[in-house]
Amino acid sequence: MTRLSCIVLAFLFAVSAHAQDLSVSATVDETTVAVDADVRYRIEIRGGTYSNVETPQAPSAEGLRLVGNLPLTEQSVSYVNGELTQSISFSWRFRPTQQGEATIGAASVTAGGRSFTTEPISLTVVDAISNEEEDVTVQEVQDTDAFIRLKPSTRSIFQNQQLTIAYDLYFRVGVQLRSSRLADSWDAEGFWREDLHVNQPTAMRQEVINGLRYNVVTLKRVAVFPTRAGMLMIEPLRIETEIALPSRSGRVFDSFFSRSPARFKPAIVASPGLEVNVQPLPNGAPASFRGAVGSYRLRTNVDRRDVSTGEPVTLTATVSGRGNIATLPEPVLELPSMVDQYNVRLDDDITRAGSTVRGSKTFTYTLVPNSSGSHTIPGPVFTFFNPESGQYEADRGPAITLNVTGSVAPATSRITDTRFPANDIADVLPFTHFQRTAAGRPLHENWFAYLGVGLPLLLLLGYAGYRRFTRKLETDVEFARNRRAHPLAKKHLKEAEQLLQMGRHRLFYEEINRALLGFIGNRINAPVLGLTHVQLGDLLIQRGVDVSIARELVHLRNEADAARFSPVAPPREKQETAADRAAGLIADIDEGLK
Amino acid sequence: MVLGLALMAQPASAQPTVEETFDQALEAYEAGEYARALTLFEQIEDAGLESGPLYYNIGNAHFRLGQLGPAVLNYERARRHIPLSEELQHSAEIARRQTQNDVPFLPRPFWVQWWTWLVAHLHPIGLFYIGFSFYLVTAILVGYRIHLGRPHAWARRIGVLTGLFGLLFLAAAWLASARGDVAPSAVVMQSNVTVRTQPDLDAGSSETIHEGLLIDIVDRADDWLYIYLPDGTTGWIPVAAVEEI
Repeated sequence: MTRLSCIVLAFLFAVSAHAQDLSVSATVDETTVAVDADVRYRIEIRGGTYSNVETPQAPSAEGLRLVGNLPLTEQSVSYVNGELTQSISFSWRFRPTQQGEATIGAASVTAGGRSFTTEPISLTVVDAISNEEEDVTVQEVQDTDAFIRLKPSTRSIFQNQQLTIAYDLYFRVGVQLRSSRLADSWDAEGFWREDLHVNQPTAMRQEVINGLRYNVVTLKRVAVFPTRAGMLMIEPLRIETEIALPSRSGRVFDSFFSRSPARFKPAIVASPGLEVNVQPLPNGAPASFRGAVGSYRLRTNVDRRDVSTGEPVTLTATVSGRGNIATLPEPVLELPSMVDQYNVRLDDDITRAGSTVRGSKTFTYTLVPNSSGSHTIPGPVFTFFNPESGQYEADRGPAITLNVTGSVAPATSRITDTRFPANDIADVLPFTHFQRTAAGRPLHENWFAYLGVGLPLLLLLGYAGYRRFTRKLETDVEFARNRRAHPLAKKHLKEAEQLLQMGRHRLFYEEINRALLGFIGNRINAPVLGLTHVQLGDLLIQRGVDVSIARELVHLRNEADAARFSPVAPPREKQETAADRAAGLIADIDEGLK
Repeated sequence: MVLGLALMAQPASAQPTVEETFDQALEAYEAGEYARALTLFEQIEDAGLESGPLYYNIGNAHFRLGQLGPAVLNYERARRHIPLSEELQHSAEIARRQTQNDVPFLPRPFWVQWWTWLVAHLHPIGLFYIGFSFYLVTAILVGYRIHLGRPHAWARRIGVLTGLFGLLFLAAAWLASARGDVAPSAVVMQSNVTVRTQPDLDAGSSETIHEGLLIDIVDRADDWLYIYLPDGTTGWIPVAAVEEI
């Protein structure tokens, strides 16, 4: 085979493949048209290659006349989801010849070596529309402009079987919608509802209905499960929106050259209601059936089989499959009397993608054996009605054998002494001491408790402080002398006072001198006895004592020395003044040394 | 004549002592006069006195009169005083069995069981005394250390140990007291009480409990109590349906 023949064969194969995917459709831009307006008729071939498409002839029409024989040809190529899609369209303009019904006949198209015939399209020709009326009518929403179509998976189901409903919003190509939202809460009385996922943002597609091309958006997908039998009604789904309709003036170029923006008006678009025939479940349900409908499997697991009496065992039963997972009843679990059951914990995992609700529900049981031995628990049973087979089906988990050891746990039993009657209370108790009814506060509100804890702590802190003080007195000479300065000075001054009363002036002045020197020596922690009066004054000045105070000290000591060695006692008033001056000096020197 | 004079010599208005009233109540009980016995026992209680045997005997009298709720209530009150009494444990168990409640006890972790046992047997005040004793020993050892002015190896070791124990028991006492763990329970006093999911008579019900069931009170809201049942269930019941221990 030559290379050229290979290429020709490949081309033929490609043409053949494309021919398999070809689609041909005929549409008009309006099915209701004014008598003085034009209507555009369009034939579109999708999926073919341009070389294989022959230009079709305009179809014949009744009540309309063709404006121009040559069609307007448009080509487009799009690449969506990895697939190349080509389309070519031919359009003509027709003009009504009279009011009433009009028809555009079938057109023949040859593409990809095949012949196609389009459907005829019926139109209604109405009276010419005046400009004033146009403003009003242009905003009217007709059923053909926008509507919601409801697509149920079926109209007859069993009770509790899933019914899937899709709500698609259709709006004409050229119609604009904005601010769309649900008008009211959509209701489906007598149904359990599960909203199915809708891709966001919703993909828009196009469909042709009765010769008109529509944009289609899926608004809502919902799975409903009827909770009772009979004829049940699902209310319409309504959306509030703002809609802008295209011009129907027939002037083709209006939309291209009009400077005014599209006029949006509020509108309500609603789907029809849906009547569903719900059949009751067939008779003959087994005793273990508790209302589950769908297709399920049961898996069980127990965390341990060797256990002591009174210890909990966790049994999990997971029901998974397709159906109303949220309302799945518990599997039937028959427990022997030796095993107690506690609250059941529920966990569910529901998948709402796709067209059916699926998932799993896990029942976690806490079981506690109340006596020792080998206890066999029959496997849990989950019974459901399968609408696909029309039969009741059951899935049973394996039996569980618990090996229980040990005596009865204290939590689940009480002591019953053999001294007491087995089924009666024990006798009354004799008199014992009584106490006053505790009307006091509880411990945490009782200040005695806080005092009890706080007092030893305070005592310890006090003792620690005291010990620190005494230890410092013992070890720190300066501290000790400083602490002793005042008491010693007071003691000497007191003795001086007594000597003054006794009239012993020499001893009085000696005591004054002792009080002053003793205080200063202890206070500055230095030997002062060998210092002269002036030297002592200078020392005090060096330590921060005021000069006038130092001078006063020198004067007083000189006066004391003079009095000590004088045969005549100084006047009584002078002696009393000396005692006061000494006390004042001690205070001043103490202040100056700080 | 002499006997008559002797009787007249006694003051006519002499009140029987508590011990005498108690003995009279016991005699009435033994004679099968349970209502009278109950009245006499309750006279002692009304006088502001209490004891484990008193509550236990009141419980017994109620039990004999077919009043399960008050019987369980008084057994639980007695349990605060004489938790280890075998008579009490036996009679309380018999009373519990006769209630219509089929609520199993949810097994609790071992530490919860230990804590419950400890608080039931020692009470917060017992825990406090133990903790305080350890605390005092620690304080004395610290005082000794301060007095010595230097650490002492053994005193320090013992002090650390007693200090830890003291803190542990004191904290436990405070915790038990503040949480009301002694017996924060109440007893159902009405024959049928619906446990509701909300504090509202129109709210859904989770289950029905009966007279004599012991419950734990978790929270309060107006005339409703949020309760915890022995099997772990929680819900709301009216305040009037129970009496607190």
